[in-house]
Amino acid sequence: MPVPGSGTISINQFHVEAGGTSGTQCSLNDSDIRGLIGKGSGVQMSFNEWYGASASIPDWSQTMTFGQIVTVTGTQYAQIQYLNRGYRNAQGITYDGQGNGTNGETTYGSITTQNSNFFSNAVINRVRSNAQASGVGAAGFLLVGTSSQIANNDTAFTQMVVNGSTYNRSAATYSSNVNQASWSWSVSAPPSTIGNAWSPWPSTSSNAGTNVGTCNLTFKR
Amino acid sequence: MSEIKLKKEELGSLATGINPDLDELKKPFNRLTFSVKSPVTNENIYWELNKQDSESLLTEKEDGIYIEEDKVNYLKESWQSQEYEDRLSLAWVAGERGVDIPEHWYDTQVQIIPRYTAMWDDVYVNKEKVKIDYSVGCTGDSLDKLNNLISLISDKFPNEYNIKSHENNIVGMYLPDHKIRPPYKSQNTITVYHLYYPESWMTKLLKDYQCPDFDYKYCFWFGLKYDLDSGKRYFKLVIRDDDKTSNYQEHPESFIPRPQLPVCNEPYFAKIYSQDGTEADEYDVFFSTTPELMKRYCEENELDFPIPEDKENGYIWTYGIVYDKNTLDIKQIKGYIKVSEDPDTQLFIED
Repeated sequence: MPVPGSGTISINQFHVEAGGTSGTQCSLNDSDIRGLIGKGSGVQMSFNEWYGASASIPDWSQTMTFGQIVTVTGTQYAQIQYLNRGYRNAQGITYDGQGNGTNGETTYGSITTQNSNFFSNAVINRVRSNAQASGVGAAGFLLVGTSSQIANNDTAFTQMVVNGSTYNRSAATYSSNVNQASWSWSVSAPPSTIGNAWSPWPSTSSNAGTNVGTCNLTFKR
Repeated sequence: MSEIKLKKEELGSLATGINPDLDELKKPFNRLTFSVKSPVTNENIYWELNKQDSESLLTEKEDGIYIEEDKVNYLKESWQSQEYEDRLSLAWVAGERGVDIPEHWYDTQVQIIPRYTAMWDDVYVNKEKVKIDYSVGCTGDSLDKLNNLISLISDKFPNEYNIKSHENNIVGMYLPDHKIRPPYKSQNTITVYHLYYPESWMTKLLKDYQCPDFDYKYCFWFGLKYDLDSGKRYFKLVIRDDDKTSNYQEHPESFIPRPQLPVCNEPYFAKIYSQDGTEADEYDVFFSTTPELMKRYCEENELDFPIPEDKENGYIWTYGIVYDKNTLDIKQIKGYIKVSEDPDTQLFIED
């Protein structure tokens, strides 16, 4: 278990996180304990630097298939078209903003959805961008979501990298209820030509479909 | 402006608070946290804002961390209003270009049509139903009432625009025991809304009613009001809110003054013209928001909330405020509940 992110912390917690036995002798300068926060031997360290420290966990990388769909929401006096690109599994999503629109989002794209080192092994059901479609110029958001409620801390992830672009968890707005959790970041407006690259996503092979391209997806802790 | 002193709250807490977190450089920061109840599902959604937004909203003082209550309330209400708006989309479906929707509208403004053609609006003022607006696609008794209204118009106003030009057009009349709203004079007035109208109609009406050219963005519907007693026809021009209507400094001529509104979606406006080119003193502003937010707005401004208590879960797709354009005094608040003729296809499933 990582060192807590706040409150009182002890060198024994550092030792345990580094793989040592609780209550046995250790020092801050031990290489495995220093390694938790990437420090060299004999250098100055502050206890503040240990908040949230955790043993190195390998990155979770995969090649994801992304899809694209245009959804429309509207009422009597306003219609909004949304462009959605990435991965979304509609099954089990009870709460997702655009899901109930005039023609709401369905399932598109595919990824490996679980890893015991990330998101408390919860199922990822969304990694997708959503924004008002071309011509409006309004920014959208990139969202990663899970199908169960998990806490917002470094045990979920610290960074998500989509097609080479890094998104820090600290820059994400988090929301959750008993059925889901999600992190979202602001992203640029979609391209005026619907199939062009839309950061972080590459260009698409067609305007709409469940599989319009592939890119790398990595989570880090 | 009141401030709330914040303390650390646990995941899912209903109280507004903070959650200490670490950024990617292991630098500590506090997230602003709060919960807000969905007006759609009644579930509480728990939020933790990102580092940048939290830092801009939170104020650190010697004795703790604070936030202005108004700011966190605005965040909650904006989200609730948007959620409610999203739910209203259930009444609409994608239309087909050139079939359901004329090409020029489809290409420029709207690609959706009402989900059902057999619907009507029950219009409420001060918790009483005052008017029914029938869609042209209604059947049975509703169609009979609709056709009767059309006959009344045709008798008095021959050679009019085809009222059944689109099956989503709307025809309505105030109920007999309810006073008509200003500026209309006669109880004997029938409303017709033409949806997805031909461009040439608008061009002619703007000219006929001598409407000034402010380069407004007009909505895909307009209203004609037929006063059967005087034989006068009024033109109700429906205008989207944009920079020309909302930015007085840049566009003083076209600016549309408006009273303070509750947190809501983008409003739109209506101006009413007489055949001599006179613009009525009353403007309409229409918007949607949650019943709770609208009720509070009415309470705070000593106004009558329009919807009866037993209808608050209905499909309240818009509120309309009639106000004086010079004084901004509010003269009437209307609430519109859309009802499907087929009870098996009601727009909201009651929770």
